[in-house]
Amino acid sequence: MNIIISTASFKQEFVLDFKMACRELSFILPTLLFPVLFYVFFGLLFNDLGGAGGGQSATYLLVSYGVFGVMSPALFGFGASVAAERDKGWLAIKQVAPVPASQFILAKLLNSLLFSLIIMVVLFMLATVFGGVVLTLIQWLSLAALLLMGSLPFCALGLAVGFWVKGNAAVAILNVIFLPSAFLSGLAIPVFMFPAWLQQLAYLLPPFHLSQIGLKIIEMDLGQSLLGHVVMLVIFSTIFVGCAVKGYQRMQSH
Amino acid sequence: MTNAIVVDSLSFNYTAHKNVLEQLSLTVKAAQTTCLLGSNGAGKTTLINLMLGRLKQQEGTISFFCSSQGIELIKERIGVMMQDSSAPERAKVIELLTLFRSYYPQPLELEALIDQLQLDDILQQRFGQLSGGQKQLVLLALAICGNPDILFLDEPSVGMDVQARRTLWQVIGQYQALGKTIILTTHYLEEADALADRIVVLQDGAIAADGTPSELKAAFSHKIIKAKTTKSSLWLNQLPDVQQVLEVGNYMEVMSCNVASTLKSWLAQDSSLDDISVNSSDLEQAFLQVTQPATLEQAS
Repeated sequence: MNIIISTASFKQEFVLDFKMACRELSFILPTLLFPVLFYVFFGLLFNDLGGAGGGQSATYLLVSYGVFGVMSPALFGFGASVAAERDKGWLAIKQVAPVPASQFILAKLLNSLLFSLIIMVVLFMLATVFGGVVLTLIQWLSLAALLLMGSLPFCALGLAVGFWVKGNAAVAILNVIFLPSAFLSGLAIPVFMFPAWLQQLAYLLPPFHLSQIGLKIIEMDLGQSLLGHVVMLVIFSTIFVGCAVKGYQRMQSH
Repeated sequence: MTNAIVVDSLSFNYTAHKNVLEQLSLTVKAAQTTCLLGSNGAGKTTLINLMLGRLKQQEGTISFFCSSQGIELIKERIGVMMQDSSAPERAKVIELLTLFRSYYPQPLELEALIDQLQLDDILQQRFGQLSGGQKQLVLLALAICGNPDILFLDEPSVGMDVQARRTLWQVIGQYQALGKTIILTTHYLEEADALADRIVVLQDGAIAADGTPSELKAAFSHKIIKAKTTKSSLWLNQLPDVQQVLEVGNYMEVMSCNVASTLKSWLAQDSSLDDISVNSSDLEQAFLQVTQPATLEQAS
């Protein structure tokens, strides 16, 4: 079976999904505004106050809020929205229609990446214009590529929760996963400022590993091996994808 | 007449000890409207979900159009309106129609579709803003937009107002005229009576009755004697030619295949008998008779 029916049909699917996301204020506002506001507040305003730091925190927190920024569309725009559509029986209608699941899942995935991209571009512009962040072109591009790729494990996690848990409960669970894991991974306060036992905990969280790879690009990481972070992210992704596939199969037989 | 769907010796269970469907065989003829009737839990929706491939079949076979083609290969030729389903609230009606039309190789003209279902006024509205009846009509539009050969309608008129229901009946009528196959489940016997070429009554996962609406009515063409009495239903049951006894408020409804003999014996033995009327049984009573004897015996 084909991945999509036709380019025209896929375009319909993608555009409708994008429009629906834009019409949902409870999704669009927190997703777009929170990372940007947090970055402006902690990265730019505090940076100015610190003075002596000289753009250090603006650069460091660009990676943190970049990771924070791509997590939200992946978990909520992708995962929670699948859960909501399943609850309403919309997924069931599509399952009996001659459209492969790959078409509407891919459309949602690309939408999640598009939102991640929008957030990233805004953060990058703020960083350059107001934060005085200077990076080489290679560094900018690597960071952008990393954040887009890095949102995929969270897409898988969102999808897994979406397939296993009912609509509103899925949003609640994703919130419980999202904020604590972001904070405990050192996205708000850098991990090196944590007590030792809390630092240990961060190793078990995917946002920590993604942000460490990002910080490696700008040479501000904790100095652990790149391979170790990548391996951890691959392991998490495999688990999430496995759970999502199991959830989808379970859903079909219920 | 060719066969649209052939179901052969289908058994299905959700839990190991009780079968929802029990060795069910059913041939749905092409170009006919077949109505599945049955009380809740009779297996109607399970049967439809098995046909649609939404449940994995455990025993038996289901084939479409005289071949071994499974549902996956003929999805383009079927349209489905499912029970308890709805579209995303933030999508506009026109957007939903456009999206679903893009799924099919030869969809109906958009204009014709809008016209047929009288959707002009609500095209730019979001699905979430529609009334229950309007929602159902949009879902019906999604079901027929691919110009399917087989149309599955699972409880289509639930939540519909009179106007929407009339539109639904018109669309079904137009589809019948085009020689399409329709599989319908409904709670409304009036609807089954008016629309179906054939009614299949399901009970406990097996076929309890099968025939045209008039055949079914004829097969249960008993008269109903309705009267006030102090006698128990148990007592009434042993009167001659009595098929069934129902207690309805202050009245007893006695279904008889020979009114004269039943009444003669009843009058002779029951001095409390009062306010007697005799009616022909309608489809609803025929249906109750097929599906409910077990519970009535327990009650009486």
